[in-house]
Amino acid sequence: MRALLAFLRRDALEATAYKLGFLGQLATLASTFFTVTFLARMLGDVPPPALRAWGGPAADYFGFALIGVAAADMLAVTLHGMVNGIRWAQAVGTLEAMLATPAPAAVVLAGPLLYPLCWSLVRAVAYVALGTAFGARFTLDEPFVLGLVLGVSLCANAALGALGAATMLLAKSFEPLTALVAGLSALLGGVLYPREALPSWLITASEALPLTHALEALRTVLLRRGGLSEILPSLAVLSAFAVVLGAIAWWAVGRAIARVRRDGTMGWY
Amino acid sequence: MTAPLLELREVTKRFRRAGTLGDLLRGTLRHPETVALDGVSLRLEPGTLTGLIGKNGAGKSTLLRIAAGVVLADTGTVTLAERSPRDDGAFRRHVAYALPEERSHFYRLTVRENLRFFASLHGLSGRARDDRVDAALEIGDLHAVATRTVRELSTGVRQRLSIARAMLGPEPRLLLLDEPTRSLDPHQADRLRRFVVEEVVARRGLAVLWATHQRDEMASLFPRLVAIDQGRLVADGMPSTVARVFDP
Repeated sequence: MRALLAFLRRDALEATAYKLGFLGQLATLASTFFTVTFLARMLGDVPPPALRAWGGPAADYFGFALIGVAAADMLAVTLHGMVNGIRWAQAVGTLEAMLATPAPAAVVLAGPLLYPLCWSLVRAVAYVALGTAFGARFTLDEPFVLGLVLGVSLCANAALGALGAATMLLAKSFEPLTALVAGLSALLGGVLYPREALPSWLITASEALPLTHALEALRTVLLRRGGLSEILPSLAVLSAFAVVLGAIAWWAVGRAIARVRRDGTMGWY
Repeated sequence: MTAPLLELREVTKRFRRAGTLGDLLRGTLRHPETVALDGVSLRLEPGTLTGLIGKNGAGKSTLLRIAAGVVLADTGTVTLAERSPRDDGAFRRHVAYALPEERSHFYRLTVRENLRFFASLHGLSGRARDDRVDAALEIGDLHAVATRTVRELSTGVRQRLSIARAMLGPEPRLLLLDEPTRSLDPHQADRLRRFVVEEVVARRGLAVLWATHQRDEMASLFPRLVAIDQGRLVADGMPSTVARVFDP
């Protein structure tokens, strides 16, 4: 835990040292928010048919899209955080120094995820707060259920991220898994439009993505006042993703670390 | 004879060059292996200072990295205080390994922040961590630059930071140094040599393995020299003895 907090502190210090980068992130948040705002205004007060599942005639695209953007942001961070952390450490030469300490390799790989994850949580809260200020309607009757959905969703995506990290440890520059999952999630997961707008075969394909189930559960809680019983199917799928992918990722990361220690390529990039 | 702290038995390490897309297109994807270490056996006792010499590419850095548990041997055994490198953290907690690469620091963080971070990876926190960081700053003579970012430092100061960082662990028993005086000015080099001889070896009783190319160090600093050539250990003994059979 101490080591993980050290990563959080280190990355916060590094992030604030890049002042323009920090400002750039704030600008990205503002531009994304206003893009969604103007999209919602363009659609007007009458929701498209595909959106009615999320609130009937009173369905609100603004809230629907903001949840999509905020959740996709958080899950993308869990997907890319470890891969980016490893790539960065390989490139700047700190990976071998960290792995030469007694800290478990899992901590060195997962540590770089914490700061971006905390920062994406701040962005998600900002999206929801700004959205509420600009007229979006969210319900937060079940904060525990919301936390549960977020936690399990993040675990499922982090497992995919760990698989990507294992690939990056071995391949050094080429890591197709997380880019593929992120691209498909943005396209099919229902971030900016309901999956019901997709052809039926793509709806079926989208079931294979954790983001699809995470958004389904989050919107049920935040837009339809759903409780635990309503989100159980999504939660079950997300849990299965987390357990199965987590086990595979644990094995793959262990094998990848053993391989780079055997090959002597820990410090390569 | 004292029980060895570090023991390498018949350690062999080969590296294969990774193939590129160009190699694939040319049909030459498989490259011959490079033998970095070939049946090296070595014992280090606690409280001893040993110089490791050899030409560029002889296998010195590979030997240090294997002793540090960062790279695993292909064959043979490595034991440090009855632990194997496969014991991971339990092995590495006894190793203080000063990485030769000056790139291994966080350039946007200050010297103190770098040390704090690595002290946390050694499992330290609170007052104990701050005390170790202060001690490391003292070891590297880094107090004057503690609040400066690493990118502002010269190569020599970064090297001192590497050595200070290596000494952060609470229970090191083996110090591995890879040409630690290479970029240091004469004053700092002397200071480091004195620190290692008087403090690390004599007072704390660590075993030290020090790779070097410097002839004055070979002749005067080490009671024992180990010479390595093309991955094979070719001489081991007092400097005068080794000098008769090996010309670095």
